[in-house]
Amino acid sequence: MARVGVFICHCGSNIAGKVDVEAVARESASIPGVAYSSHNKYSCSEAGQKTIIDAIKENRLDRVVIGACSPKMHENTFRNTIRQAGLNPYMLEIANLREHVSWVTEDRDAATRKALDLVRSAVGKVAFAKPLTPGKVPVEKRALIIGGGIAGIQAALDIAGMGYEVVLVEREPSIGGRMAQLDKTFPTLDCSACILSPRMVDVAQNPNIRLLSYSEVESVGGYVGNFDVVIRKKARYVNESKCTGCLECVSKCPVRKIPNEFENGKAMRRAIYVPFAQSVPKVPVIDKNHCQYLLSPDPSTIEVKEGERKPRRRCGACKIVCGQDAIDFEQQDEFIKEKFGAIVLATGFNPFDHSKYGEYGAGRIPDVITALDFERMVNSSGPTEGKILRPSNGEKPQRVVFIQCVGSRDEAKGVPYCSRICCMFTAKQAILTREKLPDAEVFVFYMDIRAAGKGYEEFVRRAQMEYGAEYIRGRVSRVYESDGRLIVKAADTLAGLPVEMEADLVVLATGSVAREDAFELASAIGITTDSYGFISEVHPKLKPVEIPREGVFACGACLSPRDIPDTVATAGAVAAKVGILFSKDFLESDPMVAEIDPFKCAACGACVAVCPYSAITMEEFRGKKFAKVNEAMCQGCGTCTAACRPGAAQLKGQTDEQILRSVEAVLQW
Amino acid sequence: MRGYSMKVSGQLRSINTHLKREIEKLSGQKLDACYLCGKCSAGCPVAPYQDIAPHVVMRLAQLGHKSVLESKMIWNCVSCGTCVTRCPNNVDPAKVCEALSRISKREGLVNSKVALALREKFVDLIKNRGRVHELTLVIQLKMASGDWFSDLDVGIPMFLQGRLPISGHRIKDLKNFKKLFEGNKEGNK
Amino acid sequence: MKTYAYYPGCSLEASSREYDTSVRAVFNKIGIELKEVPDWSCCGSSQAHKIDGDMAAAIAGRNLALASSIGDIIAPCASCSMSLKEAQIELEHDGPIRRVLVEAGYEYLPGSVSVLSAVEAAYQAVESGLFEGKISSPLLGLKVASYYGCLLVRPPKIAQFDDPENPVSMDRIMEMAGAKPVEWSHKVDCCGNAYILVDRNMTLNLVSNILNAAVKADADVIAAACPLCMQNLAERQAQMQQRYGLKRKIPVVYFTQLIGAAMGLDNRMLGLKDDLLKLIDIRRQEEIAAREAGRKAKEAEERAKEARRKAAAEKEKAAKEAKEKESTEKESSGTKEAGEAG
Repeated sequence: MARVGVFICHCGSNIAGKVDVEAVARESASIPGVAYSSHNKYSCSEAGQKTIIDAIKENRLDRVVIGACSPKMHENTFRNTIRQAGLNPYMLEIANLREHVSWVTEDRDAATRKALDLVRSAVGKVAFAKPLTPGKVPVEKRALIIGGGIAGIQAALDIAGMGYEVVLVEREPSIGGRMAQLDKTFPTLDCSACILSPRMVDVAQNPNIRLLSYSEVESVGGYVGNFDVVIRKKARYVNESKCTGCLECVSKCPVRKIPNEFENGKAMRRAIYVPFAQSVPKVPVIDKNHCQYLLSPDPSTIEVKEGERKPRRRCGACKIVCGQDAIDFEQQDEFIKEKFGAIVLATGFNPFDHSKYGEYGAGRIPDVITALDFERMVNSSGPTEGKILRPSNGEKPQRVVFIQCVGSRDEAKGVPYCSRICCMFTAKQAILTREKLPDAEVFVFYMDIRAAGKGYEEFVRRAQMEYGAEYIRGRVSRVYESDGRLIVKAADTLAGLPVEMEADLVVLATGSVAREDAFELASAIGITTDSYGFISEVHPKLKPVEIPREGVFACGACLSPRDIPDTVATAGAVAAKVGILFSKDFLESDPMVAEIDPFKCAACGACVAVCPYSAITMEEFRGKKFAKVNEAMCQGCGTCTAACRPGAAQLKGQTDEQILRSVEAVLQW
Repeated sequence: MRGYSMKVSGQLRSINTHLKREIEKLSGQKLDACYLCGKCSAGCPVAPYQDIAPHVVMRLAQLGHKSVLESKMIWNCVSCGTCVTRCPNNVDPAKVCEALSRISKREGLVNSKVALALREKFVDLIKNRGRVHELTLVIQLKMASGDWFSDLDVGIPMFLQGRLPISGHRIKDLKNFKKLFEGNKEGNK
Repeated sequence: MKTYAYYPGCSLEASSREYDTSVRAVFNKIGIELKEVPDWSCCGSSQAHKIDGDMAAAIAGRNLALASSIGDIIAPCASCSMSLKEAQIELEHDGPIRRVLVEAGYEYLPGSVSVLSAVEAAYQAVESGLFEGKISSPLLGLKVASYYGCLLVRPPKIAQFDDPENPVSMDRIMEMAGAKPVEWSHKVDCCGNAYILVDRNMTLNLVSNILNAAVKADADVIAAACPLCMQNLAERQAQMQQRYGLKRKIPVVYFTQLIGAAMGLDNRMLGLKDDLLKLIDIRRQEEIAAREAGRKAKEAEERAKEARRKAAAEKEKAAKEAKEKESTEKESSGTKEAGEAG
């Protein structure tokens, strides 16, 4: 007969406030199999754990039920506790009396009854628990980083700095990300490219980092320490090992009118291009949707009459001028399959699509531009070579109006959250405008100024006091064109005055949104996003860079909108977490995996067909066929146990018997 | 353009939850959803001609401050829908103004007798005939405002063209139609 | 022939009769039958809901119940279509309004009716090609400022039609009628509706801003779709010129009057003023002349191009001949040389 110990936790008043814990402990004592029961104010505290250990030893308990918070929270804690008392850590069952009872129940009696039911169920289940031993799996000490913005760059450098191998995958032709598009950075006004470019070069030169630019992750399989990843290296049509980066090909390309994505479409690039001057790698890419050679029909597929000449491919100028013979029109997408121990997501954000603000004429009126447009415009290598000009007529604006919270704090537009960076970059852009156009007036319409950061508040005050940017408190209702100028309609809510102001240039402080493709990636990896599409962390405070799938981490703005300092900080944090993982040669594998009893197995193959991890194979021993589980590959999902008709497949720790007993225990009372 | 003259009087001692809840119930709006950004005031076509701006109405309503019942703004909202179309929090300040004007009337704090007359005479006309007779409505409004002459240049030609007929249409099924007003105290005077 | 229930509304019976007659004439001509809702009553417009929202929904809902047996309703007045749409949303679920209606003997069948403004209905007709071949005298060259006002497109959750900030449906309709819609800033700005009777000064200010915006865009005429807007915009322009800074007078008509003119309908049904009819003619002549001039200029250019091409070809031919002659000479001399060499 099993000797079960039941320990009911008050969780301060979290559980005890709604559940009569004393009554639950008292009643538990009479459940068959229970040899001991008690209650404790904080079971997870050191004193609380000691009480449990002592009780196990004194009462010769051989298994334990703890009625406390969710097993997600402290299952591991209590497994360790009972291990210290000499029990196998898997002889434990948690009854969730907090999330499943006290937090969701108003009625005290009902809560107490439900708590007792859950304890009974847990006792029923633990009575049939068996000791389990975890297996050991080796750790592949290589990290995959997805995304080559400042987050991915920093994480790559830090992990490589610890001596581990890193593969950095970037979907664009160059790393650098959003930060490469910015002009100056707040609150120090140092040049974004000047602080970023050296790090980009470090990535290229670091022997521990392999950069796969113009590449995308296709699929992710496996588990912590042993991920199997397929990466698609898109055809660049330029041989990376031959190209010297002279860019002679770019200057000879005749297709010139393609909007450059890096310049937010505000300047043109050619069909063969590098996104920007400091690109890493400095190897151009041929855009197959615009290249005349690649768009013209392949002569080998064309049939012609005898005596007629076959038509030739058009253009090919880049191939002719390349002294290194690096242009390779025959290149195909390449699929690279590699093993990694850890995966880091650093996929960043997108600026909000401003055209949703019809009231501001956004996307319709040329002189209403986004903050990113402004960054490129004010940058000396941007489309206007650093001059602030009205896109409609190329003239200098006399008055520039900045509108904050465009695509932030706007429930009606689907973005109720604060994007955190807009107050600061608007102050920065106001300062830059006043510096470049000392005669121009600058107005900033805001709702609240959120400048919580080192030197941030001072920076905004400088914009106002030193640079004379006029801040008006009120959200703008409308922007429209009249007589070649713009009219901004607002209200100064502090003065109580309607505002109808002429302007030459309106800059919308567009907020940050999750990338749609990040959602696809998240689904491919099997992790979740929040309702806005940002990747969900395990715990916003205590596990801010960990992702519910073990061995996967995330940093930067793919988690939530954030500025460069916070992005770099989380990238460092990720590196530390990867370092912890890689400091071990072996990982303990979860013993709660499936096993198949060969004597019961009918060799029908149903389990092989349903296993999502291809962890089951058919074996044969002395003429008897049966299915066998590869414990290293099994993820413990239980699909096979549901499919198995003879009941040969069982999930350890969740056997049919355990589940039936736990259900029975609830039903019989 | 004029400024709102901000004729809010009184002092804030506490929040009048009773009034606040009544406004929420009558208007169907969650007052605390408003974070007072001022976009409603910014776009409101009539606000510059009123005493307080719509976002101040919203603030006073959040506080349950009685002074809002004396304001002109709550009577002169023209229900154009600009505020609710652009509100970041899906709040409808026009509905709040409507609710406030009803409470204001009950409390005898009406600031705009003509606006009150417009809606009451309008509804009276519908109730008695089933349709609105424009000439009657205009004359009744002129009586309420005392301004008889300002629109004669418009009214007389229209009258002569027969566009303001003396007799109006009455619907046939007036008996059942009137039942639709039952149980609605204010419309059933 | 498609049949719609037709809800004229109080104003179309009196002050806005030309809207009523032009709507009927235009839809009749494109094969849409309008069946007037029997014994319809006032929709409550912009006032009833201020007294009592439920009552307003009930009196508007009565009309929906009466239209149930006919089908979708066309309500030309923007204010009416808005009231009816709002009531319809209310009536789609089983609530107090439906009960009040049933008690008074009116039954609304859920989902039986959808409400369209005249602009919506006309736009649908344009989209489905009902106007094809019907535009006998297009309004060529006429610059039209389409004025939507507030209630045609918003609040968007109720209107559920076009873009609330930059609507284009009426502009498309005007294009279809051959006119030139102008881009202008005050398409959806409020005219003050019935508040002309409450605060004249305010309303005239709002209206003159709208009119001035149309004048700035160099429009010939403003097309409206609401009797209240029409009253405010069309009347008192002289007063606004004197006291509210209106730059010039500008005619305002219902958009259906303009479509009617483009379809060559009898002006007795459209009620367009002579001045505007003249202006339409003038613009048409100007546009035809301009197009003719453009065509001629293009032809002249083509001719010049052709002449240049011919001249170049001849020159090339001459050069080729000269070259051929030269090469034959060379060849013969070459043979000679080769012969000599051999």
